[in-house]
Amino acid sequence: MGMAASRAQSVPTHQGRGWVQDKDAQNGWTQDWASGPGSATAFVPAAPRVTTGSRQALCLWLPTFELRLELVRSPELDSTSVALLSPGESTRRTVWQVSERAHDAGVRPGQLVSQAVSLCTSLTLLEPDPAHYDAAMDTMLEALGELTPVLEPAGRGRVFLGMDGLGRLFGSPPRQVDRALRSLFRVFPAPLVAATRAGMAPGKFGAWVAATAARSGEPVIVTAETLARFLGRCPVSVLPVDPLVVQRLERLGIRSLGELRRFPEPSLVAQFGAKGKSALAWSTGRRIDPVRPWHRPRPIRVSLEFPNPVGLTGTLHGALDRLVERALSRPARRGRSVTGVRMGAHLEGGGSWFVETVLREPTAQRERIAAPLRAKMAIVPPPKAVETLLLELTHFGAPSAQTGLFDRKDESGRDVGGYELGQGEAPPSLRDAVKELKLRLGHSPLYRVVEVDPWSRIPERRHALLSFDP
Amino acid sequence: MSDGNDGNDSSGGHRPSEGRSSGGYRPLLRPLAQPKPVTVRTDEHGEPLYVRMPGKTARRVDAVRERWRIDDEWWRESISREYRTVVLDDGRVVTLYHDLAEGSWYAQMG
Repeated sequence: MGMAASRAQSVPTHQGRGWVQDKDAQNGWTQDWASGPGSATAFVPAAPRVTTGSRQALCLWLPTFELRLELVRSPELDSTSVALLSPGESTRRTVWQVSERAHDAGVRPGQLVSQAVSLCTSLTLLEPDPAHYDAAMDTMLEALGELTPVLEPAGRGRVFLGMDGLGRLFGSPPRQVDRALRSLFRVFPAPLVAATRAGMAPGKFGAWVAATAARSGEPVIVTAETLARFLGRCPVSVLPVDPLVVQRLERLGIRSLGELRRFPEPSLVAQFGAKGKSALAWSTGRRIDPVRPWHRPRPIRVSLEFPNPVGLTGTLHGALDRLVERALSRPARRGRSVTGVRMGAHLEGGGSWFVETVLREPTAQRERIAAPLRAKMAIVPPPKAVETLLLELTHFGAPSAQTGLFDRKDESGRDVGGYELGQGEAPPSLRDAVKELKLRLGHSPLYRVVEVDPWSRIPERRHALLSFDP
Repeated sequence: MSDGNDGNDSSGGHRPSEGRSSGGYRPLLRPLAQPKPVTVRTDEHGEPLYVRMPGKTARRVDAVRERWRIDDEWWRESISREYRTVVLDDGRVVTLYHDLAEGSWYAQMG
């Protein structure tokens, strides 16, 4: 186990991610999906009431996680120059992650595709498949969850494990790291796990810096006694602060954390405000961010598979409305309003696409959920025709006692005073009938005619039957 | 004279949405107006003379009311169909199409 602090600066991530290298992924869509849930808050101090957490942190980091997954999926690309395109559709697509060979040819993350291709004519460009990457990340978390209950993902390919109290179970820190890597070997192919960098230290910052200094198969383990010395040799670029702060520090001639901590706190606060204070606390090793147990939300997922790939926006909007209705009618949603939602698609010819939104107000109304998703879809439309449309209700408001406000009306329908049924509503008598039929047959034999592509010249594409299960 | 098929593939290459697992609850979409393969006897100009639906007896075509052609999706799996609305000798009106890519005949509602 070596301590290679000087290597921390030169870790070739070959991607627009991380604290230092992530200058072009700081804004917009790329950031959302490149960093994944939790990464933006990994170093935000926990609320005072939060007492759970683990001081001893193990950081497992798979640089260029997404690209490596693609290479595992298509091993024949391993010996070629490969670049993963940035997510989203634009006339000016940029490169997101590049392989070693492409890097050697001069291709860099953030370059325009035209620039990249002119630098490396044999470059293979790959469309990103976020659904595949998220599934792999879920697999990773599940495997590591068997090792420790204190698990905190920080973006795709990076996870912090709380290791407090695991010494008696697994032995010394090197054995604990070994155990964690072996958990990954059970679920991932060897080349993927072999590229994992592991760093263990008190607090997430120390563990992350140790992971960036580690090499494949050579974890870096830092004890509480040696943390300050270890950090002192690291460059200021490892600080999880605004890149502008790092730039200013470097312009002032402050290159390492050891140099930074020679300054008195008031001077740094005067120059950089609260960020200066935090930077000093990290650089001295005084600030220890515990690993906080990750609350894994259980989303409500619904999907709709089209008989034929669909590219028409109107059809996709119609399908989205149906999916929102379906998701809202799920028993797991009853009594809860929705605050976060995610829409995705499996695309024709492979690949996937996703957009996500946080709702301004908790709601259980179809239109209020669908409208922001439609707006997102207008900005970042699916790059290819859609085979399957997916919807996930990801975040929910507090349970409400007034469930009637959010549920479909119980007292509406043709049998109740002749009131008109709202869109997506089913009269209670029909719901009861479907319930009985489901009990008898095991499934609902009723269908509803929905428009799929009403203006299609091909008759069988215009309408379809959707299973009716209110 | 040529005979159309009474083929095995009833969907003409367009299958209903079943058999893919994508996790979570999945409401099924079943396409409407799926084409059904029929056997058609044609004259020397390719016009239908007799139509036999699967499991039924052949019916003579009394008249062709309308005809149109669809050529679409050349970028994917090209679709080329020649439609006819025909009146059979029992008075029924049926929409037929001749799949020019496959050479097969289909009846279609809608």
